Parts: sequence; C-alpha cells; structure tokens
Amino acid sequence: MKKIASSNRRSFLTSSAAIAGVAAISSISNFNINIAKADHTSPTPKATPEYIKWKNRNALIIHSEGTIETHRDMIGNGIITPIENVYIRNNVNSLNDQQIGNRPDWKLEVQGVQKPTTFTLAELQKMPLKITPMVLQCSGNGRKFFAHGPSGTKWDTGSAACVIFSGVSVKYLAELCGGLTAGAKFITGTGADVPKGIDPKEGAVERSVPISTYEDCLLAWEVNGVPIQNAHGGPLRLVVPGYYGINNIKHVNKLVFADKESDFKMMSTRYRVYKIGNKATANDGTCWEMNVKSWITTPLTTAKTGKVVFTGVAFSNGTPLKGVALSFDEGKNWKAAKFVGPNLGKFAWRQFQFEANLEKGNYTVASRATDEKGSQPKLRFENNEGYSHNGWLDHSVKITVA
Amino acid sequence: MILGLKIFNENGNCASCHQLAKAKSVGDIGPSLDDLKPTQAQVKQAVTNGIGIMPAFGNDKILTPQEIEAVSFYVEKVAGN
Repeated sequence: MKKIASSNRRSFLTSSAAIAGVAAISSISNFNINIAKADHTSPTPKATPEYIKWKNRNALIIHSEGTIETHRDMIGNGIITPIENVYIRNNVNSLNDQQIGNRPDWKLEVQGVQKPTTFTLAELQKMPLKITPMVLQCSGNGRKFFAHGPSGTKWDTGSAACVIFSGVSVKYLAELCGGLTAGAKFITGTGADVPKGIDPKEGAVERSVPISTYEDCLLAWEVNGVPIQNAHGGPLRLVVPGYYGINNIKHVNKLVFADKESDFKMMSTRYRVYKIGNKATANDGTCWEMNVKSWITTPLTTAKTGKVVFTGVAFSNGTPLKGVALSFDEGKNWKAAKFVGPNLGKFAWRQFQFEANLEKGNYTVASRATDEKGSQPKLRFENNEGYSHNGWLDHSVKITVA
Repeated sequence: MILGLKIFNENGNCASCHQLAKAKSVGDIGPSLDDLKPTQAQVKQAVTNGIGIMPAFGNDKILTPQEIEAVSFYVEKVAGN
C-alpha cells in the first residue's frame, strides 16, 4: 500500500495502528432533502455561495465558502459526476471573469524546455486533443473519520468526483518547445490565483509532480464537455490523472520542467503526510498518487427485507482494478461485487453492484476494492493532517433492514 | 477579550484575511470566521500549525502561546454573533 509516493521515495505507509471509528452516515436523498440539515455543522441553511450559484444545492454539503462536498448518494449512476454536483475545494478564492479577462488570451508560460514559449489558450485549442476521464479527489477526503480531529474540512466521501477533462497533452506541448531540458525530474504547475498582497512563495498554489506523469498530464480547458468553470480552475487547468486534487493546478499560467521540487509552501510543507503531533517537513511524503479506494453510495441507512442492491464506486491511481468485494460481518467474509457500465479507462472510477438477500436486522456493510498492487486496508493510516484515508471499516455503512 | 481583539487586528493580523463582524474585519482571503464558527481548539490548531496558505503563527513564532490562547478564545466567543 505504498500509494502516496514520497518525494524521497521513502514509504511512510508502513504501519497502521488505528482504532478506527465506524462512520455515522446520514442519508439524504434527492427528493426529501431538508436543506436545514444538509450541512454537517451548521444549524441553519447555508445558501450556495455567489461564485457557484450554478451548482446543485441539494447535492451539496456546504462546509464553508470554499469547501463544499457532494452528498454520498449524489454522485449519480452515470459514472461521470454531473458538474453541478461536483465538490469544491479552493485554497484561495477562484479568479472571477474580470480577473481572467478575455479567455482566448489566457497565457501559459512553458519553461524547462529547449525553447521556452508562452502560449495563449486560443493557440492551445488548435492543438491535438487529449481526453481523459478520471477521478478528482481531495487529499483530505475521509478526514471526518480521523479521531484526533485534524485541522481542515471534515470531508466524508464527497470531495471526490469522476469527470472528463479535455485539453492538450503536456508531452505534446513540451515537444513543440523542442523537448525537455536535461535533468528534468519534475513538472511544476503554478496557479495565477495568488491573493493580492501575499508573497507568492507563501500563497501561490504551486505543486510539483514527478516527470513519470509526463505522458498522462494534460492542460485542460473543458470538463464534461463544457469550458472549465472559474470555480474549477478555468480557463486552463493542469491535470495530473491518478494524483490527488491539489496537484491539478487551477488557473494555471506557468508550467516548468525542473530538476527540483518547488520550494513554495504549498509543496514544501503543505499536503505532507506525517505523524500526529509532528511538524511537516519537505522530507515527509507528499499527497501525490491516490490509493485504492471504494465506498457504497446506496443504500446508506435503510432497506426493505429481501433483495437489496448495493451500489458504489471504486478507483485507484491508475493501477488496473481487479474487483470489489462486500462484507456484512466486518471483514470476516467477503463476496465479490460486479462492475456495471463501461470502463472509461484506468483513471476513471468503476461503479459496482452487489445483490444481497437480507432478513430483518442491522448490518454493517463494507466494500473493499483491490487493484493489481493490493487491497484497501481495514484501518486508516493515521497522520497529522488526516490525508489519504482509504480504510474500508470507516467507510462502511450501517443499514437497518425492516 | 480585549487582548484577543487586539491580537486579531494587530499582532496576528487575522483581519487582513478573515471576515469577523465583531472585529469589523472583512478580509476575504481565508474563510469567513462568522460562517465557519470554529471552536477555540480549532482556532488554536489552525493558528499554531497553519493550514493551506495560512501561516503557522505558532510554529513560526509569530505569536506566543499566550497570544494564541487569547485570540482563539476571542474568536470562538464572537464568531457568528
């Protein structure tokens, strides 16, 4: 389970001493949603923030203006998550239309290549397309289960979505610039959304990913067939399939092929995975590749006796999925679920289903995905910031069958 | 409380990034504290270690533990009021 690559290749995911709490799952269906209860923490309804008025409020849990997740049963059954239902996690405020200006004129500077070049969005859009269906997931998805109460949004399962990005291949662009310079080990993307008056080194969203992602990365201007909305990083976003959300730089205006990781705060000490109580250093593992994970999306609380169909999603960092199994006895026995619908490629999630015949009673139902490198662990990997949770026990559901 | 307000507006300069009606601050770089209504423990943790682009006021010795105690007490008491 060495799924988050460490920048120094050291695996930190070596032990798991958690006593995991079981999730208290709240189910809110599309039809009987009670807005007043739609937020986990707020006693009063929260309106959809102005900058994302176009979102589907009933699909969302609004933690704060910039941290909004999708209800567990609102990712839909079409594999691709409707963009109106997709979560928002913004470290800094999204750029608005005025700040972005004329979209075709948006500029991207490419460095660390033989011929450093600046492209406009209009120029990029004339290049060959690369289209990638993929899971976008916040590093902290599942943070609510961590018992030590880490800082940050207490995400359940909803800071994750499966979307289709369209744009141009990073490799194509680099080759157009005469190819990489010798010694390029990282791809560093920088967002233009650094708040005014803040030192970019402290406040810019700049992240580096290993050069091994070179062939998979793209610079995208469309998501699910429409121009990327400002809130999701339009007009141009660096997309790193298989990697946590933070590496997919919104409002990207600079791309550098470098021999070193960025020393900006967002790379050097943020999004690091380290022991509870310690301080983050650049030697701790960073939130790069996602680990194998799954969760049930329906039913979440109750079902009628007889045949009960469980549905959910499963994904990895691109390592081929082998299957998903369900357990009704906290992991003593596992039964294979079936994938349903098309396989949209190694970076997309698969939907799974399992038909059970259930008598009256209370059940704890867990799902466990397995890829070619291993299975989800039972427990979460304890870490100070509450990142990268893929333990199946916390993500199980408690169902009353009557 | 007065000390907490002073740290919020001066020593810590929390007001430059966060909205907090009682402190008359309208910063919009970080989340609105009136909206978030954090507990004292949550404020303490965020101020000490930093989060996202927020600096680590404690670890980087911008504020003393006593100052963090005061400002986090203050924020919990007035946020959302």
